[in-house]
Amino acid sequence: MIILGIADLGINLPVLVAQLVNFTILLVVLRLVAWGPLMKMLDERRERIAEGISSADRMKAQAAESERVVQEQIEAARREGQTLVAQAQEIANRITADARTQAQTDAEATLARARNEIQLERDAAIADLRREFGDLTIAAAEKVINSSLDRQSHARLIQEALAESSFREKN
Amino acid sequence: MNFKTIAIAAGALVLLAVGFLFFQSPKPIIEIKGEKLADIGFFPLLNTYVTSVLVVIMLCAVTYFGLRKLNMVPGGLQNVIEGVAEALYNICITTAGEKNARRFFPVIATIFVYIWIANWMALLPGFLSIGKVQEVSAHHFHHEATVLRETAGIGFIMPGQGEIEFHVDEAACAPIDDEIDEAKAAGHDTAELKEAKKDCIEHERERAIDAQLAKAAGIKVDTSACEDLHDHEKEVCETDIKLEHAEEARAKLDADGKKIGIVIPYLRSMNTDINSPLSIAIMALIFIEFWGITALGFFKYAGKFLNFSSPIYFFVGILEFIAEIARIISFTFRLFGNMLAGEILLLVMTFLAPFLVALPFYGLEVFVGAIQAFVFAMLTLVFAVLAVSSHEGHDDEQGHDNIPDLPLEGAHIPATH
Repeated sequence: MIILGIADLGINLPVLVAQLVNFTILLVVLRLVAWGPLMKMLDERRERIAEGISSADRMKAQAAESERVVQEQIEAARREGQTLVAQAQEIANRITADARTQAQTDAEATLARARNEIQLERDAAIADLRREFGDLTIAAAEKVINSSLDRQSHARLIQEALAESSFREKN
Repeated sequence: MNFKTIAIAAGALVLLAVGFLFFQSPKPIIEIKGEKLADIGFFPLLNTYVTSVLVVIMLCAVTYFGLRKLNMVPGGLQNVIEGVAEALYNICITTAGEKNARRFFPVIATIFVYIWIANWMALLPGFLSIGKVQEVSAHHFHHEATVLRETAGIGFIMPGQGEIEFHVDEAACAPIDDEIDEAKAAGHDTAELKEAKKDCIEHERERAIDAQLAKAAGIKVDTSACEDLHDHEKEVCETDIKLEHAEEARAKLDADGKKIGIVIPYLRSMNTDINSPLSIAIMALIFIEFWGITALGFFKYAGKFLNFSSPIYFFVGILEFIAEIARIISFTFRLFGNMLAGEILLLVMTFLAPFLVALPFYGLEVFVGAIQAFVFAMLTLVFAVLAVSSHEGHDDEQGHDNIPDLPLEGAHIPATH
């Protein structure tokens, strides 16, 4: 009964075997022509993509690293520049201060010298004036007394007068 | 509503009306078996087998020419084939793991592509519609037939004729059955009687065919003489009257160049013949068992089915063996049933309305064709994964590594340890 039913469904041994052969041929051909090469290529491509991604990652890391280095260098350069500027400022300040001190010293020296010279000149002037005044006085006195006096008493009188004046002067 | 919409609606209505009026075909004759086109020695050349050979040739040619020069950057045909292959390969990897996927993939992919292309090819015009004429006779008997004209090896159904049904009076041969039973009881040889029964049935078939000749030839037969009779007697009376016109009708049919018979399509969907799903199921099972044995070793694999450690395990093993064999049947009938149902659905829809109405169902069949191929391939994959996984899968480190979680539920082997 079962055999009859199978035949009614159309199961037919030669056809079944032929279909099995058909499938096997297809499997073998596709395995050789399609699935084998495709699997190999898909694996290869997957590998390559993974490789590409990892190399891209590496590149990114490298770029980040080099950027960091450059940033560092810039930072260092800036710091150096700042130090230089500061140094220059300091030097300039020092030079200014030096110049100012020098000028002050010079001025003071000139002033002192000038003062000194003034003093000397005054002294000289005073001495001149004193001599002049003596002579003048003598002349005046001569005139007044009309050479009535002898020379010695004359000179003594002058000396006394001078002493008096110089004493006065000293006071 | 604009003019375009109205025009389309009117066109569709006209098409439907023209179909109903002029292209109404006779009731489709549904055949479950693959139909025989010719005999080559002992090998019956079935139309389904022709299709399967065509599919194999086409697939081989397309893949050969498409993948002749493999480029790392694909284009054209290579792109299409690669897309399908890559999708399947990825499914294999996620289901079976890297190592097993490389072994399973060629078989899984072949199963998928073979069924898929065969199913879709069956939707092309020419399938089921172009065929040769098989005249109905006592030897090539068919309960239903149509009136045909044959031109250049292709049968054309005559429109407006309708189908012809043959009523074989098998009851007339019933007495021979009784005789056979008697002879059997008496211990006599029954060969001769069986031969007689065969002859009787052939004779009845011839009578049945002849009785319909008049109708096929379009000759009016006056059966008013039988009006007083009832049931069986009336039928016999009418048949006798019709038979009187048989010769005349046959001459008229010959003169018109018409024949009574069925059209045997040259091409028919491969999977509507049970041999083809069965062969794929057998191959799938062979590969599943082969993988199981090579992965686990023969004795360990056989231990899944033959286990003497306790009566319960023995019984479970037997059940598993039955389940394993039953897969052939479920594989076969799932595919066969779906494709045959789809074919009949399209035939019936085209019969009900020649134009337009069958279109949505064509779309459905496109979907079903691809889905059935996918289901077949995926089930093979899942069964293969189950076969290579050992029973102590949870203790066995390597086995556990190789088999990730299964995507399908219900595909679980009961643990017997």
